[in-house]
Amino acid sequence: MKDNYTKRLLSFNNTEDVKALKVMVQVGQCSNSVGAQNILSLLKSSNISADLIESGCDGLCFLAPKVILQYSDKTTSIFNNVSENDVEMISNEINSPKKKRNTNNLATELLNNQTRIAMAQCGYSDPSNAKSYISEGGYIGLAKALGTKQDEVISEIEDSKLLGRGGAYFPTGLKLKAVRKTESKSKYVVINAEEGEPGVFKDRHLLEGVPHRIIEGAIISAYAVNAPQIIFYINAKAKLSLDRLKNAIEQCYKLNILGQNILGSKYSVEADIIQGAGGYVCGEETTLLNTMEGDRREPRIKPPFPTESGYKSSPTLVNNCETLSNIPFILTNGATSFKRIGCENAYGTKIISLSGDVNRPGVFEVQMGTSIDEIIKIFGGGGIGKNPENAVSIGGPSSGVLPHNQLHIKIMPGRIHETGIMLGAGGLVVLKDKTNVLQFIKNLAKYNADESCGKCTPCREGTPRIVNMLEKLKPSTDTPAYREELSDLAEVVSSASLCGLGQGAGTPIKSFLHFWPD
Amino acid sequence: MNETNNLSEELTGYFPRTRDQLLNILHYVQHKYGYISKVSMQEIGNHIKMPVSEIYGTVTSYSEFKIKNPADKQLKICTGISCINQGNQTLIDTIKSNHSINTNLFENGPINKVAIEEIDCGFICGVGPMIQINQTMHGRIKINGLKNLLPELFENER
Repeated sequence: MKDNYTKRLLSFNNTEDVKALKVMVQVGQCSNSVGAQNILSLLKSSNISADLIESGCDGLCFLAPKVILQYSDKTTSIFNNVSENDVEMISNEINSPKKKRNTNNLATELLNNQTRIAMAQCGYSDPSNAKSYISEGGYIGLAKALGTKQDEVISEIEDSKLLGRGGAYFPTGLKLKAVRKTESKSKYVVINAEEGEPGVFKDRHLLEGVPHRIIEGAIISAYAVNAPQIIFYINAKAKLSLDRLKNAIEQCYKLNILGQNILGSKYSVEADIIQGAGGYVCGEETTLLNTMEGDRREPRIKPPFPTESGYKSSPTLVNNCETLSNIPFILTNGATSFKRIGCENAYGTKIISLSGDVNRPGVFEVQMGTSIDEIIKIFGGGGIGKNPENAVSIGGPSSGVLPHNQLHIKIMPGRIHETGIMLGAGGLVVLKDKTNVLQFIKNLAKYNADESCGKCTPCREGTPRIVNMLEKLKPSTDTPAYREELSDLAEVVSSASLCGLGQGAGTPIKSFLHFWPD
Repeated sequence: MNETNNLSEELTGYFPRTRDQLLNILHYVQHKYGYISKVSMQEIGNHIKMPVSEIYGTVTSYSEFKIKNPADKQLKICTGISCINQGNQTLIDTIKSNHSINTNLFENGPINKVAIEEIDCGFICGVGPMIQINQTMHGRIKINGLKNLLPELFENER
């Protein structure tokens, strides 16, 4: 028997008229830069007899711009790397479809090889249409949550052993519990979509492709901790994400998924958006809160943790987009089905942003426990170069570089190597065999020095000193004593800084000294 | 002074007088004037009751906010860790050699000139290397693509 909330939700559906053919042009910030918007306007102006949908990107960046025709029997024709010259051919295909579908085996294979929870339907659904998200099973998790007690919602998420996907991998269930426990008149749920780490572009894909799943996850968490206010914090450069999210929130208000007494329940919740203004350190949760309150972008001293005293000194739940995108699945299908995915002690999936010297850059959602080698070979199509012996930078400037003989390491939450290399937010940058690893490490060190906010002395003074020492590292100066000094410096910066930026700033150096002893 | 009178009226019209509005206000002002001037900072300070020194501190701690009038045309080159690997240095060298312009970061360049800025990351790493001309990002830029884009940007400079 369906509960009232689900019934209410499904009642939005019947007005939807299903056309025989859906034409989806995948427009995202990435594909826009290679002409997707142009393809969309050309298709709009050509005379076609089908629904034209501006969807997000499915993550196969190397095939962008992409046009997908979805027929009523759910078969599809996929057109990759579409240029202006292909538009006429595509509109002919739309107006008089051939019997044989133009199935692109590579694209289908790459999508089928992934386990898509957070990114399910990303690129194949209309981000500007809440009703189409509902018809694909969306907001059912929310309806279920509203029909159960708040503590039960939390225990379901706790059972799933979901870990925060922003890079710290803190158990989401514990965070929810802590905020729920703290008594306060006002509580906030903050969605961290700052994503300021170079080489990571997954949250952007989620916000552009399936914004409603993030909103659903956010409302479920807000309901669970009984918070009346949700605030989305979006990266300054993610203009398209901002537009799509704004639109999605407006629709939720229209359908009473947000606002007073949502879906006829006793629970009311409002949502708001704040646009960031750049800076890697803003992704750190306490810095994010300072930024939102109008202060300089500097981290706060913990404790008190945001779960006790966060935004405007109220208990605040800060979660990453990807974490929230997993919550609807857990509520809809149960914690047990979530735990069937991934490996022991690391359930679920991780979205990997793969770029650099690789044949097929893009965003891929894979199960936890997949090896780095598999990701690069199966999804990335291997590294570029005749005889690639690629090193891989994993986790961006706060983590390190792995040499090619270490790529058997599996992606896991937290540390994946004794030098302190972490999975972080899941950014993998492949380096060409010729690439000078030292130069790359220097670039990471420079980046950390630039981004240091200046609050903690070891980080403010130590990061430029690391750059300086790396600049001077030449065959003539490369003595064990010099290396030891560098290693000590990295250790001091890492252990005496407040936030993740400083704590991670030493890791690239440590990994370099460990793996490239000569 | 007309301009600032308008600003103070607009702030009163659009934004509550609380400190948490600072980021929204700064975005509004930068969008309107292209940068955040000292006079604007004073107006903002009056509106949300915050010392100008603190506003200045906040503004300058973000990479997105400018405190000087930016150039009419802007060329941004991504120097993110992924673009570095995909040959953005060749792009920077090409620009240098073709237009005898110093590409070292001189962000708040003079008016009516092209300002060239090296940015940390444009976050479209899947289609790098990337350059941005004014508000438009261009992905997968190779030398030939760059040479096609440059004349439009520098047409009045030669």
